[in-house]
Amino acid sequence: MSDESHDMSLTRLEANLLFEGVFQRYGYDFRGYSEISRLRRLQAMLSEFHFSSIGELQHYVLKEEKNFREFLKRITVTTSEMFRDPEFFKQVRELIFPNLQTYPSFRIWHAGCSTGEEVYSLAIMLAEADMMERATIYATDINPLALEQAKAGVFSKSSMRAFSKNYVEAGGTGSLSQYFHVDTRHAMIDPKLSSRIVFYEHNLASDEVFSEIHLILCRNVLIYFDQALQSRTLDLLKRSLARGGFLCLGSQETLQFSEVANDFREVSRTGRIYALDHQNPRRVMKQKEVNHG
Amino acid sequence: MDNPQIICIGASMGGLERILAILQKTEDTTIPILVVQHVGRGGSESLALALSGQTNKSVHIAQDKMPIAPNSIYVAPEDYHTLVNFDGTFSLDASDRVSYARPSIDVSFASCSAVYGNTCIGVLVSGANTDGGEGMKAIKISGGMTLVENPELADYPQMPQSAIDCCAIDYKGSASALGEYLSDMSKEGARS
Repeated sequence: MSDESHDMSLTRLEANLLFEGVFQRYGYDFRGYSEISRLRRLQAMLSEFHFSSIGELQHYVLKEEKNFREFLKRITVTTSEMFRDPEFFKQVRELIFPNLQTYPSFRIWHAGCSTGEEVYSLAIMLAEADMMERATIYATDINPLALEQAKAGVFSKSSMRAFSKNYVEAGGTGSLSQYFHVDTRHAMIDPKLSSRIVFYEHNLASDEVFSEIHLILCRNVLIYFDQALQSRTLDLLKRSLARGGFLCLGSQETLQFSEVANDFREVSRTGRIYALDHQNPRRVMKQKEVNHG
Repeated sequence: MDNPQIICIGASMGGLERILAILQKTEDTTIPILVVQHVGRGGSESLALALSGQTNKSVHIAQDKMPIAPNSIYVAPEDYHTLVNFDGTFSLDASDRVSYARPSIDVSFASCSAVYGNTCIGVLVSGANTDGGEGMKAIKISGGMTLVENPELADYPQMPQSAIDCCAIDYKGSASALGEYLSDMSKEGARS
């Protein structure tokens, strides 16, 4: 084995051991996460903490719970913006809201809600459509630190301009700042918007269906999972959906390669919006190759 | 280089013309090609469309867990980083921009170097920033091959120049010449 590939083989082994250790010691299961994705975050931590090996990082993380908190802050991706992919939010309003309005009450699940930006974006849209009272919103994540942040609903004031731009592009009818209490450095979401939201820890690798859901958003979560965990998750999401319920994925994610593809019909290709549709089991979506139909 | 397994081309402003010039000369190579260009909304689809008109190979926008197949060209989707898995598939990542870029060429190059090691070829052409320099260095360190467009010929020379400043370059030339070099190399690889 060349030096390089020998090193990489050791790196991969150490990474696996670290995640096994984290699971055994702290109970957090990242073992089904995409290997390359995890490695990227680990390598960033090695740089940041000036460790020379993943073995060293493992010792640091397993030694003390407060070190594990530092690890937890960095191991999942919490990059997010309000109304990120404004076109998507516009499509939610146009294609999904009319359907939700036919229910006396409906449930929404943000699976992998991270620090809450997507949750509050949707809440604002529901408020503007006068649908808030009928909504119950579940926002779950494996990462308790992200959830803490999401619950607090505090964002940096400097992000507000980018958020506002997205909000307007998504078709927002008011002004984004009306939903926030702003001070010199922070913008806190108006507590009224949280009234229908329940935040709690849920692990897509091991937890189960907890309710029948009309709209699931699981955006830019599956890309961090390996194939097996992705399949498990999609199956779980499918089983959580009410008949005709909607599933929304990230802008470059697709159901196309998955086993559940046949259980859904595509509502919007550009918005990555699908609806549970057992009636049409042969509706397989084929991604067209770009250069021929 | 024995048996090159992936060619990763990084480009930014002024890149399309160069990418096309390279692809024009590599029609006969079956090595998968990943094109990472800094694009805005809708940009990856436009780029894929532009490329598909100029090649007989299949052109795809790289999707998460999509297999990396021979005789195919993949375009990194906008607003994601494109990495590669050890099992010969792509891995998308929606985390922070790197040096203001997403997709970041550095991220793709580093990922290709980690997985493909000395069977990875990195190509850097015209661009107005320094994304790609660090990534080329990673490719070189892992034993891969580094090609750049001659900065004197590039509309925006900063990017190829940053690679030259960062690491040893195996070949420097016009975009067309880079394409020919890749074609020659893949023929040699097939012979060895």
